[in-house]
Amino acid sequence: MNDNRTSTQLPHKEVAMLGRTSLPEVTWSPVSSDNGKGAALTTLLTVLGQSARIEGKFDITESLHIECEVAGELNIGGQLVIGGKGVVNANVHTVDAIIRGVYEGNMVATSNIEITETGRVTGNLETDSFVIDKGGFFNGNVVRRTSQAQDSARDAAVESPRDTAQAV
Amino acid sequence: MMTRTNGHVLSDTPASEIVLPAHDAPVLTVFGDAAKLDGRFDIADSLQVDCEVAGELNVGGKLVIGAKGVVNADVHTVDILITGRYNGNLVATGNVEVTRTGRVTGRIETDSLMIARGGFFNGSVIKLQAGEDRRGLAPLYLVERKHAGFQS
Repeated sequence: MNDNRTSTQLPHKEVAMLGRTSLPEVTWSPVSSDNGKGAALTTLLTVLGQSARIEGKFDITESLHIECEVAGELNIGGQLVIGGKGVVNANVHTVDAIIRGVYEGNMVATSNIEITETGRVTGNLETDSFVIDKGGFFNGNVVRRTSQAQDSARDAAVESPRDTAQAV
Repeated sequence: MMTRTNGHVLSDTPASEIVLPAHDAPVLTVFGDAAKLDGRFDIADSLQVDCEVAGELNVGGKLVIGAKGVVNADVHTVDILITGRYNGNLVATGNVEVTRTGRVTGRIETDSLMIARGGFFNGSVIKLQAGEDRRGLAPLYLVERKHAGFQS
């Protein structure tokens, strides 16, 4: 794992927690990982425990944070966060995705996809904005979204050059 | 019968005051206004639901259906607290509690059932047969029964 974090310009400070071996007091705030656009959100479902395996079809208006095994189909109206312990094997429609764990499948993201230094992704991605941090792993295809490309055109603050996707 | 081994007395606590044991970090969290989850859930410990869930749930600890929760599923669990809506076949090796806001339809298999005044239940209750709780997810339950301090 790459410890040279400063050079990778990690956008979210929780990423610094990824090196943890024992769980600290986890305060998952969707707000802090929401690119500043989030208000306080209601928690709709919480799974506690050492492990969980969930399979099926999920329709979620806002966001989802995964630290367990999930398979099936996910439709998310906000942000998908696959944590360092998350293993997701699913077809995903989302706005944003941050992948710190393992993802395999087809993903359509209308805004950003980010693979952090611990993320491992296999599959086909369709997005406008694609970031892979140093150390992140990606195997598959990236297709640039064309139909609604103007959606993200207003996201002038997107950090990554669009061409990164083709270069990978 | 009303007192769990961890000392928590079951009562018709408002959903907002229900706090699941905090000894574990969340492994999955859903945020937002609405969510609909359909499928198979195998969960080693606990689950709190305040959205729509359908399918099949295997919970090794406690399932809490919050006031906004709508669960339409077959459930195997140890303990269950229902403050929202539940419809399906339920097997609980521990306690089943329906609070005054809870609305339950279906078949419940358990040794311990409590329905608070105002709670709604339509269906049948069957006493859990000895050893029956070992079917299905036996390894999970055996571990979790110990974990929950369940006296067999």
